[in-house]
Amino acid sequence: MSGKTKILLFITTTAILAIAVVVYYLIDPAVSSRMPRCPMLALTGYRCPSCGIQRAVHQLLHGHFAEALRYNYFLVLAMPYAAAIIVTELGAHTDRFRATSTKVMRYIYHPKVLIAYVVLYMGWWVVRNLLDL
Amino acid sequence: MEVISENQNQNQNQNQYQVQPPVKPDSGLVWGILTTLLCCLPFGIVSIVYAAKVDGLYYAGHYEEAQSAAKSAKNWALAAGITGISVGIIYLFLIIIGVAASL
Repeated sequence: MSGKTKILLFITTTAILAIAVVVYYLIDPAVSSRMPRCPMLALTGYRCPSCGIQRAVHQLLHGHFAEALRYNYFLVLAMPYAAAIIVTELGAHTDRFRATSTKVMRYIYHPKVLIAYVVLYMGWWVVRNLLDL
Repeated sequence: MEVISENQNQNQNQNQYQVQPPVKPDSGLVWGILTTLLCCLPFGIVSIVYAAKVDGLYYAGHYEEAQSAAKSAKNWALAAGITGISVGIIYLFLIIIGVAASL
């Protein structure tokens, strides 16, 4: 990817993200019928592993962590993990935190950790449909 | 066993201090995780599975294989992201039509 496309991509993603943050802050998907429904839930009646994320994001943006988790318990695991990846990726680009970040990354990116994540994700998919979570 | 682990150590040392090894390929794991989380896409899972291979291959010194695994991981993450965004746009479009129709 050339420098220009990278910058363009960065600007587009930031813009989309900013719009999304505003929309999800203002609209509560639990109440509004305008927000998209999960296609899997609509078609099969089964919840996908990410069902509830939109409602959870709305709650998170308002600082309600407990309410957010109630919509999707997988966030307990996924949020800190995603945060750790983003922080270390950013840290690896700075001189000050490069060494620490790469050290931490060896754990975060460890094959066993990744496979565990996938297994837990699939497990959560089954469990949430069995227990109606 | 000891001999093997010594050899491995030597290998690692050589990798570290001899000719500088190539930079560890970026597997775009952030995108794999985010797409599985945000739009529930099986593509994201494939991406993570590929990403899982990268580190092992890289630290074992198989730089080319690590590179190609990272590339696959990135492509799957990209596919997941594009699918997710497209579905989002289609939804948005349908909603706009719906709103327009109800006016």
